[in-house]
Amino acid sequence: MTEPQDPFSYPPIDPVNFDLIIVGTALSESVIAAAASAVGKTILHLDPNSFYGSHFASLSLHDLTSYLTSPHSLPSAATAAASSDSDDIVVVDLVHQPLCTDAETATYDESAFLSENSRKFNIDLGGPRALFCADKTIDLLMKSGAAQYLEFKGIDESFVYEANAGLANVPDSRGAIFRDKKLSLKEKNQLMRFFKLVQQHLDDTQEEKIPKEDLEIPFVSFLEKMKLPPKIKSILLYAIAMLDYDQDNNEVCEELLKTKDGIDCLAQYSSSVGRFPNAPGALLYPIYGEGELPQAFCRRAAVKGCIYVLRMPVVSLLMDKVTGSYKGVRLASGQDLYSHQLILDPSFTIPSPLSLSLGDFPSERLQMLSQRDIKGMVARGICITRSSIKPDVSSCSVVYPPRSLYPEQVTSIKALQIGSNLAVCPAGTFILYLSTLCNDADEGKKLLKAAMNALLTLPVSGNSESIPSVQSDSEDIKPIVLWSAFYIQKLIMSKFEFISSTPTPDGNLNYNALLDATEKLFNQMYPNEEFFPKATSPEDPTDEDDNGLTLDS
Amino acid sequence: MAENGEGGEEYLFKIVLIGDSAVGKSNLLSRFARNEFDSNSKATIGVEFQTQLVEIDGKEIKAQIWDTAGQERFRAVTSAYYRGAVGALVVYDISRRGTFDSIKRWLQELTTQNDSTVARMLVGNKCDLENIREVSTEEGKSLAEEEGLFFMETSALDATNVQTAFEIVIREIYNNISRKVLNSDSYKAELSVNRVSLVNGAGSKQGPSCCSR
Repeated sequence: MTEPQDPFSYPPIDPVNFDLIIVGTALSESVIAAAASAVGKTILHLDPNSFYGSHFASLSLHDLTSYLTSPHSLPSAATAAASSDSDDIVVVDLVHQPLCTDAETATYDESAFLSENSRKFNIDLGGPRALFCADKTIDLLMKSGAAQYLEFKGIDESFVYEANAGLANVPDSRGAIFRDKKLSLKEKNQLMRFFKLVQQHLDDTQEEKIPKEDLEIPFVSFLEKMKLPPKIKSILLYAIAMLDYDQDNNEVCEELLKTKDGIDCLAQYSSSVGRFPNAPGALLYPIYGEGELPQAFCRRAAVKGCIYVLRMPVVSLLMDKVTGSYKGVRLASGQDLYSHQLILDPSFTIPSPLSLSLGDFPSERLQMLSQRDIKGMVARGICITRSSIKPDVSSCSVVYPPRSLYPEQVTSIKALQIGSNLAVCPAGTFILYLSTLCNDADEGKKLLKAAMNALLTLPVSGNSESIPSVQSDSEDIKPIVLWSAFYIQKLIMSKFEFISSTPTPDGNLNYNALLDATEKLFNQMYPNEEFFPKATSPEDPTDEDDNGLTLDS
Repeated sequence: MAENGEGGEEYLFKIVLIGDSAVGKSNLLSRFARNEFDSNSKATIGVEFQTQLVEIDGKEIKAQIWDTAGQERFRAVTSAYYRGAVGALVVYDISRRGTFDSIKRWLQELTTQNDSTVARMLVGNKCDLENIREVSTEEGKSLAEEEGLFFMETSALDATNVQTAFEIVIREIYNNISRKVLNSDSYKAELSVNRVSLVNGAGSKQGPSCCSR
């Protein structure tokens, strides 16, 4: 989005004092904006981009490519504006460090088509991402009132990738187990008995429970104790519980999932299946892309009085000279604004205080701000294809369990295909998202490319008329990749300080961990306020579903 | 969203109001929907959208008219705001030249975000302020013709042309929908199939079997 107009030609922002200033419109920032507005806080919410969502945005193909390959640095504050340099204030310039690094994009075919239809794409930066029907996110959308701005569709199918066998359906209900063509009769009976055991455990009217000592052992050990075969173990651990690390590898898996937590994962998954009419599976996806979610919360905040500014970088912090406390921010337009609290997008930081000439300014507090709590990386991939990875299926999720691609594969890979019926790509095309946790960029990309090659094929160069070769071990024809992108996102935790920051997109398929961190941050900032008090959403349905495990036929 | 339900014909048209701050968008909406006018010029807070029933050719039509929640002040209207809108009123203030000069940018934003708006009207509001007019009627009409829009000057204050403006847009949407049903745009129809909404009790299993807004 090239702006020929002066990007800072807005009128000055009035008022100049706020309870809270938020920089960045990612999901966490937007949820906090809505939550704080709902309890009457005055908020200014800014984003340096011309779009909402930050690293949770859904972008056109052109904008996505620009975002990944040419991150912008912060401009200097406009000197033309009358900035009041006060004797009481120390100005600390911010530094922008992009969260997406090591990006590589490639166009393999139909570049003219892709260019002409760039705006028909709404590509998620933080994908693969979806909501479980019984998700915490669903409850939050209803409680906050943001649900009225969104519509969803169900993800048609869920698959697990099996080495040398391709895609197998995830049998997530009694009916699905019955219909499954790849499970043996013995395996079906084992899975039915296991689901029944879990169902009884969760049913308060039943007396038969899983013993307490079993609940504390690793879930993988419990499944072995139940004598479930490796195939079913793999489905339960990675396709339903969605675990990232190889539970059979003690070296890589630092913390094995306990049985009680595994049961909770199964419960959420199973209570998601068939919860909504028109959505037979466990997963929902927002029409027009995941970028709609932060926009919904921002709209909610605006309705309650929050002021929104796009295309306006915050370039400096204003700190009290004597106490070192936060006072306000300086915009790129040169305007100074003040607030009691500040939330910064995690891509903003400050140089090490040692490199600043601050005199006798108390710089210990800045030291903490310049350090970011990086917990690892997520490798992400995006592919645009001309056909579905499964005939007659528009949208589906796929999990590649550890070691399903090659023996040294120690993490799961998650994939999500979305078709044009969700308004994220032109008719006749599909977007396949891939992600995995990793410790370095090369490792992550290698994993994703192996996953891509398992399902997709590249066009034969110079011969677009050729028919793609049929997989020898499957009746499916591999879709052709038209375009792909691979990039790394840093995993940064949220932090509460006098200046707070929010978490980055994690490696999970849903938002539960992220929203937990967001609510925790809100409670730390406003310990006496309720997170979305009920009075603000009169449409909240009173007939809440029981959170029980239901195996519908 | 243009909905054509099966249990008797029922239409829901999403219409958006856009334009610079303080041109009178919220008062146009409150005048049309509730016949109210608020002289307090505070930025739009609290107003989401208003749904108004209109009868055209014996058909009952729900017009769902959306307001900006003040996000236009610093050019921060969400792209989600434009989703599924089949009508738009692009509003300027005849007594403030700058708001008329912004119209082309608003039209560009509308076109960029939504290529299925079938009824667009240019509205020159505050025509009661004749003595401090800065944009002539001819200029407004000329721009509207140039851009292929309907045109009307209104006053939300004294209710001049407000009802008429909305009704023209709604009727134009209805006429287009009637033709489109015969042509059946398959891509847009594909978007409508199997949608899931979380509001109006759709969160429970006893919710309606198909979603309509």
